[in-house]
Amino acid sequence: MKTVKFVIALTTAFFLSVPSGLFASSHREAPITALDRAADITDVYAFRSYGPSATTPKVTMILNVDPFLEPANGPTFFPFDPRILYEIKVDNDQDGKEEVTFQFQFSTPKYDLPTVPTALAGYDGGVTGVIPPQISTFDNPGLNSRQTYKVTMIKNGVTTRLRNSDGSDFFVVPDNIGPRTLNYEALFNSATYKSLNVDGISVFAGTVDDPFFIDLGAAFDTFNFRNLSGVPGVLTPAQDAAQQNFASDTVSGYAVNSIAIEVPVAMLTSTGNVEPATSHAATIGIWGTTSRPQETIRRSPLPERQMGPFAQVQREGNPLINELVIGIGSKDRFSMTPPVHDAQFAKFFLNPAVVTMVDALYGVLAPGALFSPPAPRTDLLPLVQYLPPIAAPGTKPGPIADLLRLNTGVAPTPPATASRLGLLGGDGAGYPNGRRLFDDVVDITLRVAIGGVLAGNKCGADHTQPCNVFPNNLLGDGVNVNDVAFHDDFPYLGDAPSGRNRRHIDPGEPGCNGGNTVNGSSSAGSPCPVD
Amino acid sequence: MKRITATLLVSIVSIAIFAEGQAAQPSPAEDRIALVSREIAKNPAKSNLYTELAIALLLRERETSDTALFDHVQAALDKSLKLTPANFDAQKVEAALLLGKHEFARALTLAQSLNEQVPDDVMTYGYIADADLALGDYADAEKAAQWMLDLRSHNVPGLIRGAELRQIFGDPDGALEFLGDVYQQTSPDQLEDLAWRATRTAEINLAMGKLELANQWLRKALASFPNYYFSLEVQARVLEAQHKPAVAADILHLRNQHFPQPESVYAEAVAREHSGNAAKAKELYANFEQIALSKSSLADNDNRDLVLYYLGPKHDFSAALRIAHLAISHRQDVWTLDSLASALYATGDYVEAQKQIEKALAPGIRDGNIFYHAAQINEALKNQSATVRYLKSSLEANPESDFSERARKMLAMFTQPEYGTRR
Repeated sequence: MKTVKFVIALTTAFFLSVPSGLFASSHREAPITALDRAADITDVYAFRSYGPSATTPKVTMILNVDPFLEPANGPTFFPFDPRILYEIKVDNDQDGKEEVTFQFQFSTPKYDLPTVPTALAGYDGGVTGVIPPQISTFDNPGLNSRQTYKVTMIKNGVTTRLRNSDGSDFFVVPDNIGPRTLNYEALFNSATYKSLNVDGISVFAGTVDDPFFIDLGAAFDTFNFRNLSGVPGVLTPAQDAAQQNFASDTVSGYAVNSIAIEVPVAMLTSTGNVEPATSHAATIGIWGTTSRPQETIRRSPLPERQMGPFAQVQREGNPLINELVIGIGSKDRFSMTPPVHDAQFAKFFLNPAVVTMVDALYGVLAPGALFSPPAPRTDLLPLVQYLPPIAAPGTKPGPIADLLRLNTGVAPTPPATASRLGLLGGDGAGYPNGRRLFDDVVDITLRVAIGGVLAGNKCGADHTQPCNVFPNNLLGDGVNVNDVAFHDDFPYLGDAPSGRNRRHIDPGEPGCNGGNTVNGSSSAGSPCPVD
Repeated sequence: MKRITATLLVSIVSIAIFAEGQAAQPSPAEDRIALVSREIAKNPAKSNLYTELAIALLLRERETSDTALFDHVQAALDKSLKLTPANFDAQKVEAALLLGKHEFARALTLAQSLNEQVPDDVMTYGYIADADLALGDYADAEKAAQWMLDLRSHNVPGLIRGAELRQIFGDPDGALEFLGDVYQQTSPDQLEDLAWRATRTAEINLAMGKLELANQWLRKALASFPNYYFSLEVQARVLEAQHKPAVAADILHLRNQHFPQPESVYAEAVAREHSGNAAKAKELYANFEQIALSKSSLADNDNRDLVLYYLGPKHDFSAALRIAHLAISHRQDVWTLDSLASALYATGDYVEAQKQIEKALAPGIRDGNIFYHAAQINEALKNQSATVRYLKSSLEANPESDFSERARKMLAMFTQPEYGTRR
């Protein structure tokens, strides 16, 4: 008998090169997704629908993936990855686990032959035999490739395939390459499916404007925010109140791939009813995940018959958690772990390293100007547990879990009177009670996490002063609104910027101080500040 | 401090010069040692350079099997940790060093501690998997290796651990699939890596009885890294399987010219004995026994080979059982369990032998030799159906195993002649 001696030690390279994680927006926040763009969740939104079609209480949930899509980057543009399972999950009994799941799986884009040399081509009424007419429907040959998707609802273990009531396919809205080639708005409207086999549910998927807005360059540069008020990263009251930007929106002019679903509230709560805001059953937790088939050590005896099991690549509930709160070295584990196991990350939630960092930074930049409350930051727990002011008092808090919590009993605020600052701005229907597209989560997070403005916190040099005072309650990056207007009904998302005409508003360029407002007139206005 | 650094560098350089005598061109590890040494001379206070040096020395150990280098690795790590206490990278290399020294339990503890500090580090999971594999905790090894593959799809260290586990789980074809992927991903200038990966592929083919494929892979390995000790050892085993013990003995003699290890000395002794050179075999066995016995209580030991020696050439079954028990007190991997089962069988404790061999087979491994041992034990216990089943499994798993001839003869006594003739 020969002894098979393991040569297991030192069997391979000692270091596997991985890029280091960075703090940033939810774009490329963890090494695992920096290497896997298509699975990179940029943002998750969930809010009570406020559009005219929401005649009964509904929740709109949006999962955005694949960040910083340059709309001119053809010719194959940005299909969803058919090998990724995209999911939106809902916890309705405060156990941190999903009771309702919506799964989205996309087809492999099919290229029709004979074909035009670019992926998309169209011109007005067309040039006979050469160029198809402008693309405004999904059967236009100029579309060249079309991607479809299937949607499955799993509720309490029962699986229901969601379909158009006429049995037709769900199409994905392609990139908005430009006005000559396609009528993006027409395709957007055609791909908003509101008549499904399950009454009250609507779905949408496609390339849209990235609704996230932030001075990302400044945030990346060790919180080197513009000096808009005399103290960097602090707004004046007038700036704070304005529906316009005072710094450049780094995400302007970029697109993102978006999945949206609107579901009646009664299908999401544990009771099957629309619960009042005071009900313990009114608050649900929402998060999105992306998963890929596992490369398993144990092979299936029939691998060709199996697609799974899927391994989670990323998840997101609240914005900016993995970027700003979870420490380097744990970001991938956080991304791959179900939220119900988030207790292992409690040390990060209760003592976010970024707060210490910014506190120290301001101690140098503007001594005495800004003090953060000390750890442990129990005031941040409502983000990761079912606690007031989001959940009704007495609601079972459940385990520590990064879910986007939404009290479905709180009626939506009409957009005209809504505050970009959500709960901080006195608007009970905004973040962190769910998250709307126009909620300024950057400013909210700066004020809550770094400024510590929630009641009960003590700031100042000796931690005896209230926190909810200047400058803590006016922290902001100067980007208050998105560069593109949102639709006023489901799926609410803004039109993808046109590849031909898109514009990224950079520091020093027009687009601030009244220039870029929600009406999308991004080329007007004063130059955005550089310093 | 300067004096310590200078001493360390002088000794490292002399290692490189001594080792260089084996080959005209410096090896990749030697290049790396020289490069890092020059950097250290320029920046003697940079801890990361000593960690780099430790890595380069470990790589050199893998190129040569010169275990004396471990002391120099430790010295470099001590220096790195003195300059930057508790630095993560140095501790990682320390885990690798412990694995190299076969201090698996300590390596596991350290790797787990590092994993708690930085759960996203892929290689730390690799070291956990390595230690678990060696200790026989295959469930935990699988968990760690699977996490590696989930963290970074198709990553080489993850695939290598996955291949080891697939073999343990009885899926050698799957192991070859992973190793094929690994080989494709290896850069042509990673000469020793190419050779190691090709040799491991050859070894699995050998364990499946695919001798020609094994030879093909060994040719690739030796073309990448001539006279690579690991390739020569496996090549000798292939030659033994081809009933060419004299050539195998010569190959092992060549291998043992530099940094012979007890196991390679034992292998040469066996080959010499099989080729009819009893005197040389006796000399080598004695040499092996002396060294292996002196190390039998240490973490880095040759106890499994020692058990084989006592069961075979020495015919001292009680010594075999004593050493087998000593081995199993340190690790419960399939090979050590098989070794214990063989010793128990030899001493007549068939019931306990059966328990141990069943434990060895429990993960699902399909190894011709282990199956044959299971057949022997069951035959002693008069379990005819199990005996036949294991004999068939042995021949199916490896029609060219060390025991294939005996398995065929034994099977012929029990069954139809389907397995009674050599394929």
